[in-house]
Amino acid sequence: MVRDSLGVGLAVGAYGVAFGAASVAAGLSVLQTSVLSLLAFTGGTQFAVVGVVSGGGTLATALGGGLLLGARNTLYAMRLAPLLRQRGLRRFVAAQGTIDESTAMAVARRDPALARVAFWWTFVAIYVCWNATTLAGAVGAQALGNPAKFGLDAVVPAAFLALLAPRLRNGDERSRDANGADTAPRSRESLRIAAGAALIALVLIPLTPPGVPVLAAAAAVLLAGRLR
Amino acid sequence: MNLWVLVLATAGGCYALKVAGYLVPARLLDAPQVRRLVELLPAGTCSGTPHGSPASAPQRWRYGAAHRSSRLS
Repeated sequence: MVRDSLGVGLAVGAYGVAFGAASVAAGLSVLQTSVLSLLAFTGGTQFAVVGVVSGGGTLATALGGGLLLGARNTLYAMRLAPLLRQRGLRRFVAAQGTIDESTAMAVARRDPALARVAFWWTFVAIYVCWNATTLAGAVGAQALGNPAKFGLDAVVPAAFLALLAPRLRNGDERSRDANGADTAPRSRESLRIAAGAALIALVLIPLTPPGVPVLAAAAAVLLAGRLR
Repeated sequence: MNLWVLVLATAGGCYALKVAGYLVPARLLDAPQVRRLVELLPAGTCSGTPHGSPASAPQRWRYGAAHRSSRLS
């Protein structure tokens, strides 16, 4: 199980290089890039914020889009709280590690003790890998100089897609492994919602200032979850 | 745009959102609407969390609720 967590850490860490490079290409300094990975520590939000910056969006749209995407961590935390049962200061440490992957690894375990082990190992593995690779990507991109020349400005949308696409499929496979039941309705539902959100973003991109499409797509996903 | 303001506000906001989930009172979590949102939203954001089938999801949740009530009693 620890090996699983380390594996997830390494896989996710690979995207850290893309984030570091994209962030520097968007105009953030190496230090600002690393501070984002160290303190915000939630990949989707980081890519969204940097994407809006590189698109020339305002502070409000960048922050709004980022925080809307970050709001799903609140729901993960609500799900993890009774499972991890951390008290006092450790709760505030656990909060920082509450992200997609650590939640997925913890919730997949039926035994709470194992869930806790999975959560902490995944958190630590990803935290170390994500921050190391962010720094490597940022320093590398800075050494290259003008990012547009190397097409680094295309990294944000590409990495965002790469980050999301396999998850749509994995959610399906993994849940079928876990309980052998037919999970098609739920994953199709996820796919539909994701496709709807993507469509909203695509339609809005030529019409609205940078950042607004991300905001609208994230809001649509939130609404879709609430309306049922 | 002041990038430092953006970086620090993003970091602070994201951490606050995470902490908020741990500070929500257990009683609120037992409300059916909140429960459904917690179950559904992560699937909607294509996080890939292994929620399992619709049939198994409430089962897992009951598991969590049992923990909470044992903690409260």
